[in-house]
Amino acid sequence: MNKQIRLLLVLSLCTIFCFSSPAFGYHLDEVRDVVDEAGNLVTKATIPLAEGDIYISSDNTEWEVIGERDGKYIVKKNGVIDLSAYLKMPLDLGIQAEGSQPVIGIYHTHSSESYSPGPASLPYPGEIYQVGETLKNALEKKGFKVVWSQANHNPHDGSAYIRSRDTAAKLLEENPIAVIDVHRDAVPDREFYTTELDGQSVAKVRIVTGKQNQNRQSNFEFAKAMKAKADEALPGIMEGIFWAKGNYNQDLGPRMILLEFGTHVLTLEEAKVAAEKYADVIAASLPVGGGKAERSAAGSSVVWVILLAVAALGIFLFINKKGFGSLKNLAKEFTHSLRKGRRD
Amino acid sequence: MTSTTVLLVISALLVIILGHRALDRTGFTDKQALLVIGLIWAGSYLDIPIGRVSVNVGGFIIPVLLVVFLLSKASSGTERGRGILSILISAGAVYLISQLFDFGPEAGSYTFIDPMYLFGALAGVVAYLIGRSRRAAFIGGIGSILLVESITIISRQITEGGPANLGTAGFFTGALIAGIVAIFLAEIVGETRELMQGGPEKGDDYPTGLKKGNAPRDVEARATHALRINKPILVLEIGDGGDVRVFLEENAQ
Repeated sequence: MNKQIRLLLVLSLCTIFCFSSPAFGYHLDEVRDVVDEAGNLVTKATIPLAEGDIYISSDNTEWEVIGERDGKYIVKKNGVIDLSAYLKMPLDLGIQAEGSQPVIGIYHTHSSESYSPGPASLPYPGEIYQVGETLKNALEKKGFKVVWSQANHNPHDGSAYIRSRDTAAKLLEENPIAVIDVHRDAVPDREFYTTELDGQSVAKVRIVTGKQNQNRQSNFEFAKAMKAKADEALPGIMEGIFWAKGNYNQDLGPRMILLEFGTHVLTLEEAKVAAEKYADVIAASLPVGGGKAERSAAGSSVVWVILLAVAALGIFLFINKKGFGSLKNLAKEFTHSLRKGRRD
Repeated sequence: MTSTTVLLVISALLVIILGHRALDRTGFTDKQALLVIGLIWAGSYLDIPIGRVSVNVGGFIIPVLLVVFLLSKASSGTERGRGILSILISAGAVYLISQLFDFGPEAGSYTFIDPMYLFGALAGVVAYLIGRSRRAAFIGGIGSILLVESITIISRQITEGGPANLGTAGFFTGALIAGIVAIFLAEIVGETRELMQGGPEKGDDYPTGLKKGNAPRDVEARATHALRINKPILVLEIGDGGDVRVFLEENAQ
């Protein structure tokens, strides 16, 4: 290989590493304040944020990340969003057959997550499975059929989502109306992540939706529907919604959602009470959550996927220096081969 | 048909078309590529329980066989060795990155890009660097994830147990997506490389037909001279020891 080629390949590798480099230096329990332009605390996050990420706080203010300063994320206020429309939407069960018992899937990407007073991570099964089981039982009482996967995706490393992807896809075979990845957060602040409901200390719930997939709009709409219902039924239980970079297997379908039940410094009991209560929110959201807004969101995703495919093809043709004339040949080759099965 | 269903159908079609083009780049004929896609699709409905692990035929067994088949198709021991080496080194790179970065929303690692795409890109570049062909990138992309995931699941079964799934996402399993990302990244790197070195039409050092870049890229990576008359390709290889091999390459890109 000549020098130019080596240089190109080394640069490609460096690019990948550089994009990932902020990961160095992050540790479990490292929390960052998210503040507005005046320095007022908006929320706390261990989730790494990037410019353009959206956070909807418990009072339904939409914040957009605009940068970092002194180890804090800076957000600007986009305004207060009105979620009342989400309370009136008609039921759309999507792929669920009419008249059948609605199915919900539950799984745990991070199989070791646990709560206080023990270690934050335990060997499989971590205490998070007990939170999942509580949620399952509560949803079953609401009339849902719940398929709860107890699959082990340990270790808690960068490949965990690749392993849990197989589980999430397997759950989709049951034609669920929603699939929930049950987690706990790592913000080391009890006060921040607890609320009081009916005289009980309860873990708050945070929703995380990923932007790097074609279902992002549908899943974000579902998250907002849950927030609207939670505000109505259990005010204070929602910590907020993050709409951030990442995928979290949410490309597999609409209504794939990630819920954080409290954080590791809370007790398991506080998280279980939250799961029990939050089942009301899920049950109330699903009949309306799959409504009109989600359908139009899926429609915009279709356009998004097509545009992406066209852009990728354009780049490919440009690099190939073949021009758009080759597009005709490509289509011709493909259809011709389908008919005759000739060699390309 | 709801927009959601349309979205699912379009996503599936995109993966099938991309998968088909990826297989095409590895030297499969269109018919063979469609057959492999058909086998993956049909096999995705079939899980084989091994202990408490559900092993999917379409998402694991067929991809493993695909990697083995592509390695067995290598025209020389060197190419095969490079293929195996590219899997091992790519797997090492994927494992290293997955230990360094979490990609989850809680543990505070940076999520610039989903690991599935990142690992595909990483394995693709590493495998291309070692194997110097699109085929190597594809083998490395799929093989590395399959290897890392199998070893991880087996080791966790020994130490912790619990049910586990391997390849049950079928078409959408991480290894296959990584393979597709890998081959298209290798395509971009490869084409850019050729663009940088002038491309075939500027290769004036060679007589017509023997111009550098005029033969298929995977052949050129190892052949001393390659003459494109029409398909099949006539390949002339002169080894280090002076041994000469002349053969026809039917499945070159």
